[in-house]
Amino acid sequence: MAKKVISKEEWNARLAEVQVDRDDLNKLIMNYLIIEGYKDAAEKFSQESGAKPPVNLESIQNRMVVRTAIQRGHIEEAIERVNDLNPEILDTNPKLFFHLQQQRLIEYIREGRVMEALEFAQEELAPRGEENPEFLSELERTMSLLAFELNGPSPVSDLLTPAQRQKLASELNSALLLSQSQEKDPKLPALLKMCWWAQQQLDERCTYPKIKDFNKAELVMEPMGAVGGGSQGSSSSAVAGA
Amino acid sequence: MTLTPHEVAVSQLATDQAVSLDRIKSLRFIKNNIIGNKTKKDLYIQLGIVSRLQDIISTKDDKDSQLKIQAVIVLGSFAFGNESNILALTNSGVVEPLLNCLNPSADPKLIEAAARTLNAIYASPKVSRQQLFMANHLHILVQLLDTFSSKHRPGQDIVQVHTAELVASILARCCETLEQQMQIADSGAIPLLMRLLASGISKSQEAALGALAALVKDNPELAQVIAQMRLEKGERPAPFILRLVRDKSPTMRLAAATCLTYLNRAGVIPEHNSDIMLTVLPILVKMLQLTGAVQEAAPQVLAHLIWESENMQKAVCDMEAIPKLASIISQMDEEDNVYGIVGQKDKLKENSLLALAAISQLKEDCRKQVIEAKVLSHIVSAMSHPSVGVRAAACQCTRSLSRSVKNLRTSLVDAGIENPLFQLLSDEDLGVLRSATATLCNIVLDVSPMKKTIMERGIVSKFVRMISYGDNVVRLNTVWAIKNLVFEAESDVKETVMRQFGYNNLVLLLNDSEPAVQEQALNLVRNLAHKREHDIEQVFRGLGNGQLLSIIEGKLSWDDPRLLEHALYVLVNIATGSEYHKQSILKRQGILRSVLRSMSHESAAIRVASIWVIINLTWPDDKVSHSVHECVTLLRSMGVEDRLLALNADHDLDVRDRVKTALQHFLMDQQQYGHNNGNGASSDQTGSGIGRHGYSSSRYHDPRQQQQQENIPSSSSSSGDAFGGGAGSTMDTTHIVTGGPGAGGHDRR
Repeated sequence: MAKKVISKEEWNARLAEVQVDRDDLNKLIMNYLIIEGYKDAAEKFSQESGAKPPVNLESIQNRMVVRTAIQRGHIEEAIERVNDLNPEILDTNPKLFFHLQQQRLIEYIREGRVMEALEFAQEELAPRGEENPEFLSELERTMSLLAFELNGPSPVSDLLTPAQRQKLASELNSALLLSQSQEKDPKLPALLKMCWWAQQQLDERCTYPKIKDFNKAELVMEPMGAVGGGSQGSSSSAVAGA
Repeated sequence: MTLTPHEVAVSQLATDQAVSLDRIKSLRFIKNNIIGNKTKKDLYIQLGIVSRLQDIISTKDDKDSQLKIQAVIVLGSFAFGNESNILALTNSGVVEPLLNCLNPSADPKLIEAAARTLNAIYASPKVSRQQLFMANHLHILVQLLDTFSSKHRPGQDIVQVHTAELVASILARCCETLEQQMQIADSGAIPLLMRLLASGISKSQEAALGALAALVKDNPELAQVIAQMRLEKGERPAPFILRLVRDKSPTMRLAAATCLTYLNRAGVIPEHNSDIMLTVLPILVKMLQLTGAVQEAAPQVLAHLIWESENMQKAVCDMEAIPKLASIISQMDEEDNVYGIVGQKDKLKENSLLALAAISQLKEDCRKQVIEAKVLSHIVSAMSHPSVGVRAAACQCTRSLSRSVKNLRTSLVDAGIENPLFQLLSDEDLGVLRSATATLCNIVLDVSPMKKTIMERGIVSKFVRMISYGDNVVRLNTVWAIKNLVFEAESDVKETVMRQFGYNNLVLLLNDSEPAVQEQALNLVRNLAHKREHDIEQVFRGLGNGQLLSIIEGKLSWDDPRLLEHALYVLVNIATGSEYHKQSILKRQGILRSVLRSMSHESAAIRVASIWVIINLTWPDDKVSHSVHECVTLLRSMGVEDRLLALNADHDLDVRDRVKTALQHFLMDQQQYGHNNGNGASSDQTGSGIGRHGYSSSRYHDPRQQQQQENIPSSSSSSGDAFGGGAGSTMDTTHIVTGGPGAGGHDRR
């Protein structure tokens, strides 16, 4: 079946018909900057575009301090910060609280402070396991770190990777955002994904000027019949990088 | 002896101990120790920290707000522990100083912290709400909802918004009585909540929905006010909230669905009926498959929404809600077995049972699905659950299921409902007693094989105890059950029941303060005095000479149509008795005048009942006896025949039919004894039809015997409402059983 061809002129004419509110665009960008924690950029953007940040910019800073603390393994400091920001979060979110304490245990073990690790597990983590049996298996898994060489291969070595801290940092960031009535994911990447998906659907039906590189966002008319998996793959990676 | 760091921290809080900086440091240390850690919370409470904190927050010195803020936060964290922690706080009197911290001139962070702590304290239904409604507290609190006022300072916005959310949540928790709802409304909270609702800030919107829902719950007046308000863009709240029902956040969807449910139950948004069917119902059903707090609350909201609505129950049934609920309940029982931990998910179980009870309330199809979902054994075992809420909800389920004759005959017997039900009749909880007695009404019906066994277990002696119970619903259900027990029963059953129950108790019930109880008591008399002369005589004797007719005479003079109808049917039954029984009626001019008056009553059912009295009094047998002739003469002299003639043109077919029969009796008498009061026209008019009726073979015709009570049929108005209480409450505050009054109204022939 021959695909319908839409010329660049026609495409542009259609695009021009769509009214996009400048304010909405600004809001989208602001939303991204805030949720991702780019406080300075948000401040600048606010000054230049006149878009008012929906939240106090200081709250971004606070979240970022917490995130950095976790990434550095300073769990206690992060906990104190969170409790200063909103003492309700860790009192009403036992799972998150358990994960924080679990990370503290991991950090003790990483530093080779075995006695402290055992004491801490007994005093802080065991009671949480009693309250919520679902935590028990995770606790057991963490404790088994003690049985292996720290740098050697082990079935639980993933607990010592930066990804483990990263996961916790995200969980905590989401909880902080939620407590401030904010989305936990920015809207922009979701929109780009939707755009990419729409192009994919369209590819099957017609040839049209499409965005191949989302970094440049240029409309490129594809040569006839050259639509293939390759081009889709490249757009996909462009989205991921956006 | 060395002190633990915790003991040191507490000792440093003493007012005369240290400079304020050290005390703040100690408080922060304590705070970071107890947040998220229930064991440490208990430890500190045992160390006597609460009174120290109380001292700190009670000082008038406002210079150092940090100290107070930290103390208030620590108190709040205790309140997040468990109910006994909360009570430890309130018992040492922290509520009043916390309310004082809300003073608008105070540090906004202190206000926020105090609001948070109060909100956590009011999470317990056991805490008195009284102080909030005293002095100026409510007014000050409500002003905090106003986040967009002129006081707005940049940098404080998060704190202020957060405070408003907490205040809305406090208000939601302090709407337990009608009076509280009204006071909160009078304080000007509603327009501010509307603004919060339209704020676009999700947590604020959820909090506003929670408060609005609590205000309109069982409060048609406020529901009307709120439904008629306008949001900033001129929109009504209901369509706005309907959009929030489709929000991506489950907690928002739940809050919106809850608010709409209460508005709908108050009957103030009829224009959104189809929206609720098409949008809210499926969303609530989907929530059953989520986890956590939303899954826990959703079935309760669902139950409330569909209660008494056959359409909605059918719709929810079609959405496969029953298998979903059944699997929640049965899965929980399995998990309990695995972990041996009981209690964590009681509320989910209770709410799921309530939803099953609501779905199967009116439709036989839905009941069938519940049985097919193989959940009945779990329901029956939940009747012996340690949590009262679960017991009451399980009993509510059996009540709905027992409205099916088929279930009464089979499934419920097989599942062994009888034992636990009997146990529940001694339960200490009012909600449980209410649904247990309501279920019992159906279990003792004739069609139920359990009727006999439950009588043999001594059910009647339980009845005696329950009618002295100071609760209208329990008393009502009890009379109802006894009435069902003696329905169409053999004389010896009736005698056994009444010997154990006692006629003195019957008299008490006939004079009960609650008209609905009186009505059922009359119904009971009607059933007792039914069918056999012997039975009538038993009631005459049991109640004492003349007592019975005096009571009836009293009821007839009341203006309550329900009492009137039942009283008339008692007369209908007595009039089928011996000559003596008939004469005792005829001797009472008061009664006869009431009967005559009732023949012109606006209710057709009452006109019919009164004509039946006449029919039975004038029953001629093969030929009109002398005594019947005297009776006819007496009635004629009172103007009964004229009244009957006038009723020949009644618009009600039933009335006209009865009139015909009655007039035939008068005519037969006239044919046999001659007519001497010159009312010739009547005989001409009715004469032609008489002979053809050939009813002479039947002896005393008892028109519509006393009805069996209709807890069973879906068309009946008998119903209960088990969802009166607020979150966590199991009190059936609005539980009403109104089947009795219907007795005449929905006559099942």
